[in-house]
Amino acid sequence: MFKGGLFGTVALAAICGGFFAYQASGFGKAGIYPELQSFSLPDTEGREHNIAEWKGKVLVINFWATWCPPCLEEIPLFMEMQESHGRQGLQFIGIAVEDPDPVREFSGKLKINYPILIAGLPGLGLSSALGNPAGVVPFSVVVNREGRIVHRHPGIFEAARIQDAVIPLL
Amino acid sequence: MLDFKSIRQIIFLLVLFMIGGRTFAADALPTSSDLGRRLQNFGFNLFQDELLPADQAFRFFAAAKDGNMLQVNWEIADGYYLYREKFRFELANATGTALDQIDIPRGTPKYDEAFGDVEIFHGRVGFDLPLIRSEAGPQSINLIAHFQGCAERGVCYPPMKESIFLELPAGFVSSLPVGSSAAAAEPELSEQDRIAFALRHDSLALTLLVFFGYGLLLAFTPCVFPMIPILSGIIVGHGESITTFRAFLLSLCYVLASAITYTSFGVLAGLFGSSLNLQALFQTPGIVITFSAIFVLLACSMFGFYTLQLPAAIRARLAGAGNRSQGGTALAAASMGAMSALIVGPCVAAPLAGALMYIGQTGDAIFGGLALFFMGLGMGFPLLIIGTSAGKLLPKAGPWMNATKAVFGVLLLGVAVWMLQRIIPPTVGMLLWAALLIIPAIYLRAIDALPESASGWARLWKGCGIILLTAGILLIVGVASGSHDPFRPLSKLAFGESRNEQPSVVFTRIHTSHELDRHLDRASSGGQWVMLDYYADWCISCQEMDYYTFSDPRVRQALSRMVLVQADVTRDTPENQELLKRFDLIGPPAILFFEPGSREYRAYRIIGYKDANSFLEHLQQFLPNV
Repeated sequence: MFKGGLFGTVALAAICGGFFAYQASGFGKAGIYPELQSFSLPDTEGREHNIAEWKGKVLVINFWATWCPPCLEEIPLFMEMQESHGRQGLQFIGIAVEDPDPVREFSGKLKINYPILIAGLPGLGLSSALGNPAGVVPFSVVVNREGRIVHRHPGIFEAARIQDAVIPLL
Repeated sequence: MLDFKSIRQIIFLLVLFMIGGRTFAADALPTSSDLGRRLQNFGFNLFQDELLPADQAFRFFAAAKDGNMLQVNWEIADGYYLYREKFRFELANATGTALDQIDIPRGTPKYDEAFGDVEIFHGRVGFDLPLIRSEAGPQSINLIAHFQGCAERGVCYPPMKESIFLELPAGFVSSLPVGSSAAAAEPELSEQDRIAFALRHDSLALTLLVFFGYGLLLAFTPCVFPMIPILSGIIVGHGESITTFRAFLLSLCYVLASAITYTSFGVLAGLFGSSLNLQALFQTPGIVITFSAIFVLLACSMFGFYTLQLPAAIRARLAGAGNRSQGGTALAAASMGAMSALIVGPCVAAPLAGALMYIGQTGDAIFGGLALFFMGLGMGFPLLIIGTSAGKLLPKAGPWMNATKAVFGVLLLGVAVWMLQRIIPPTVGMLLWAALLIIPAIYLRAIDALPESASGWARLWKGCGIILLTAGILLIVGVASGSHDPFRPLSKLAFGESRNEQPSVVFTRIHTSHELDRHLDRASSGGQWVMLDYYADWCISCQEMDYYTFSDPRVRQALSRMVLVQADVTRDTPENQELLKRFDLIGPPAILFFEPGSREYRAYRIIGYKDANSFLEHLQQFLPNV
């Protein structure tokens, strides 16, 4: 009696909730992921890069800044993954949401082995458009070979999560 | 049958499936409504559902506490924190106003891979931003606060910037020019606070020299004036036999004793605070009457009624040892000095208050006491000169000697009346003054007819006598007309405009701390400043302020919009002690200013006498409109 009632309520709630989520997200339409809109940003040397340059690769676009401790924490892992999976078509791209000087200094010191683009604080607007309404960093977006955003990840992108969400795309 | 756990797992999987095979961390089954609400946010914004926008995670508030202080506060949502190191503030469009040094409270230590050791704040943080102002008027300013924080779950917010417009009320102008940050860390100090501070930091020699200087300055105030006839009286009373050296020795005894008394009085007051009010203790009627009587006796001996001498038997015994009898008079001079210091001139002035504050704060009675001793020496230095020269200039014998003695006799009687005034009704005091003017006038032959052959001197003396006589008569007329003020005996009589003229600033008298609060509250709601004046009948500087400063029309005008409150601490009651203790005061005179929010402007506290001009200048430092 009790169990049945509880089961019914929870199941109903789950179905309703799922329905709303389905409506809101659009993820329910299997395989339809939003397309990554094109944008251009300068790198640490000031050279403009269009994101289309890396078309056909599995992209991990990581928004970060030197004032953000968790961002700095995950970069060594990204460098490692870039090293080990780069040849399979994995490409990390860092988008720094601050002024060029500290970024240049930090990326030079760490010898980051993937492109760093500098967006300044307006870069947070771009990250919002990609699904980061609170405008926090670190924030990572995974783009598949078809140029569609298949995963979003605020906070540290742990190795296990990358394993689950990125490696299968390669 | 399915047990609860497996049902849970099935639902979990179902939900996961519906939202696109994504995972989420929920280790407890949410309630149905909660789940529904949460799921609405799911999908794209995984995790983001719980991440607050920056302005909700860190809610910023700022307000102007008063004209010289802003306050900033953050309410930090649970699971979020702000970095102590990242707070930064600036003022835009604020001419004449700048931020002073900020004292940010300590946060929780945190070790950060990237930043090393940092301090963070959870929950709530707030602190004051002191302002340095070169213009005191009300002003609209724009405060820009920069701050930065993160969420515990490992995301950070970009540097945040909040700009807020604040209405700054009138404040006081800091002596430091805006933009000079070199000494900005030092807060504004009142004169006595500065002295206490200097005591802590200056060298011994410099401090003693400076306090000697303060004493010299104080010597030329009415606090010390009554000591002149007393000391001179002692020396003159000694008679013909006095040598210059002996006069010097006697003066030295007097001065040393008064300096030592100042020192011990000061050290005790500093150590025990206002609970031991020696000053008030020595103003009890018994002591005042005794001391006045001593002066009357001294005066009588000046008039030659009798000779103040030790009984003949004792004198005979001491005859062999002349030095020792000299020691006796030296002792008398010394005890007179000590008594004078306590009863006649206990004037609280800024250096005394500063030294007492230093003793009270540090417990260092030796250094503070030494400073006071040197101040006492400074105060006595002119007395030393006067006393020594009194011995030298004194005519050796004859009618001149007697006349000089008589003058000092009258002066000593004056001291006695002046002291008695503290405990007798004002009309009686005025009558005594009148007697003290009229009777010597008669001795000066003020109403005797001058013979044709009268000498120039006789005419001069008669002139002086008539002046004294007139003053005495005016005093009696004043008493008859109901005046209580010996300096304005005719104030109660209508002479044209003078009737409208207030004799001085009118204060509301208070007697308890509670009454003070009431006045402060009322003034606060009316947006008025409050001036609190500590007064006592025996406080010479207070009376000086009344007569010379508060009677000045410009001062009256300047104070017209303030609430004027006077705490009468003449008597040493527990209520009065509390009133003094409340503001760490040792005694009157003290003038405190409170802004409309009831906060005292401690840096603008006045201790000791200030004449009308310097009082006005003082007011203008923080009230530019007066």
